[in-house]
Parts: sequence; structure tokens; C-alpha cells
Amino acid sequence: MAEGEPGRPPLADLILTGDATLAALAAQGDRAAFGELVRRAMPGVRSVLRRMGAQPATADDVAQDAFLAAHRSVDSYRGEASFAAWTMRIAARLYVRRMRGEARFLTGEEGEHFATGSISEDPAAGMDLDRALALLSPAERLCVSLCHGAGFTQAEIAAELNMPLGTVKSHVLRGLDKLRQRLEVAS
Amino acid sequence: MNDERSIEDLFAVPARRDDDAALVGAVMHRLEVSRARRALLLGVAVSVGVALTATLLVASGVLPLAGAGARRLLSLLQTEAGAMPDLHWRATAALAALGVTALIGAATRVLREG
Repeated sequence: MAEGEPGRPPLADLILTGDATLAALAAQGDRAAFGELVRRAMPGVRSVLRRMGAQPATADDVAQDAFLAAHRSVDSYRGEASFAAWTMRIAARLYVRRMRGEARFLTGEEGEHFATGSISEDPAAGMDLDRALALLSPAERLCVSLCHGAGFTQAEIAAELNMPLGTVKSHVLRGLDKLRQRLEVAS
Repeated sequence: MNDERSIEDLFAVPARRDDDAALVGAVMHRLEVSRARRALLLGVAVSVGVALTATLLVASGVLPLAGAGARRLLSLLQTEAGAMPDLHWRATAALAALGVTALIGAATRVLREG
């Protein structure tokens, strides 16, 4: 759709247009509107995938697939949450489904993931969320990121991961405790 | 860092990232490729569908013949069909039209869903 076409703001104004309006335009085939949505949501989508434990290349692949899936169903986006949050959920589901077949997905040895000396080794760098998450077990990291990053309920996480609800709750609680502990130490 | 709210606040801040613009460009490129592929597929499906439908409608006598080429085609088809009763031609045409409609429907679905 060209700039100035009736029914859509000029390109320069897209940046000021709300997600729901942009999604409605994208559903009508407006590429620039969808491009603006992708631009807004990309940092959040990549972040949540990386925080779930995805390697950079995998995170980028899944992020692309998630945006293509979002484009196909953009007419079902109702604007109740931000487009970024909506796409994060799509991306998180895609990542979980992609990784389900990998044997080490949730079964990594805890010892491999807890580098307890890293906080004091590099005090100048501080301890941000991403570094703290890297110290959790894969299951804790995934459950905490799905819950607090992608906005899944614990019941939704249990369904996605084929895991008992009680186990999910334990992973989230333990993960949060560890995060708090490490972030407090760092601050 | 005293409650879950503050953890969610931390999650709300995107991680430090290298080049989002390149990945945005990659997504838009894949969308464009997907759109072109779907358009090509739809074009082929519609062309095949129209050609099949026209051929069968002419051959079954539903549409009047137009031009020498169509007459030759009809003659060829009738030769191949031999003594097939007229009713069978019409039934064949109706089934083929249904098939073509399904083909176009499938192509449309591909076009919509990518």
C-alpha cells in the first residue's frame, strides 16, 4: 500500500499509531504497517527467546517464524495486549514445540548451569537479569521466562511442557528465589 | 528485588541486543518471498482450472463451440471418448468442475495462510 493511500496514516505517522490500528492495516495487506509492528516487537521477542534459553541463531530463526505466523493470523489480534506481548506468546510456543524433541531440553544437569563464582569474578559488569537467568537450571529458566517474560499462566506452561502443574510451580518458585538471591547479591 | 513485580519489570526491559534492524529486514523479505510464491501458485492453479473447465464445458456441449481450434479439440475428445453417452460427458464435466473448484479453493487457502 503506498504512502498517502486513503484509510491509513502517512508512513511518518506510523510510528505514532497504536498497535491495534497497525494490525488492522496489516490485516488489509499494508506491509509498512506490519513492518512497524515487527520493528516494535522484535527486541521483546528476541529477548524472551534468549531468556528461555535459546541459542542466538535459534532465537533469531524462531523469531522470524513467529512473525510470519503472526502475519498469517494478524486479523485475530484484538489489541488487548501489546503486539509485542502477543507475538512473544507465539514465539514462546514455537520455541517450546521446536525444542521438545531435544533430549537435553529440560534435563540438563544443574551443576552445569550454576556458575556460582561468576558474580564476584566480574563485579564491574554487574548482574543483570540475563546473566542471572543463565545460572538457573534449564527447567527453572524456561518456566520463569514463560511465566514472567511471555505472560503464560502456570497452567498454560504445564500444558505446553507436558509437565504436572505442581512441578511447574516448583520450578517457578525455585527459579524466582534464585534470581532474587543473585540479583540482590549483585546490587 | 523484593517481589515478583520487580522481576516482571526486569523482564519488560529487552536484553541488550545487537542488530534488530537486520532481523526485521529478514522477516519482511521472507514475507515478500512467501507472497510472491503464493501469487505464483494461485496463478498456476487458476490458469489450470480455467483451461480445464473451458475444455470440459466445450467438450460436453454445455458451451457453444467457438473457433476452429475448439472444434478440433472437440473432435479429438469425441474420437477418444468413442460412443460414450452424452449423459456421461455431462457427469464428467460436472465432476471435473467440482475438482477444479476444489483446486481453486485449495490455492486460495494457500494464498491466505501462506
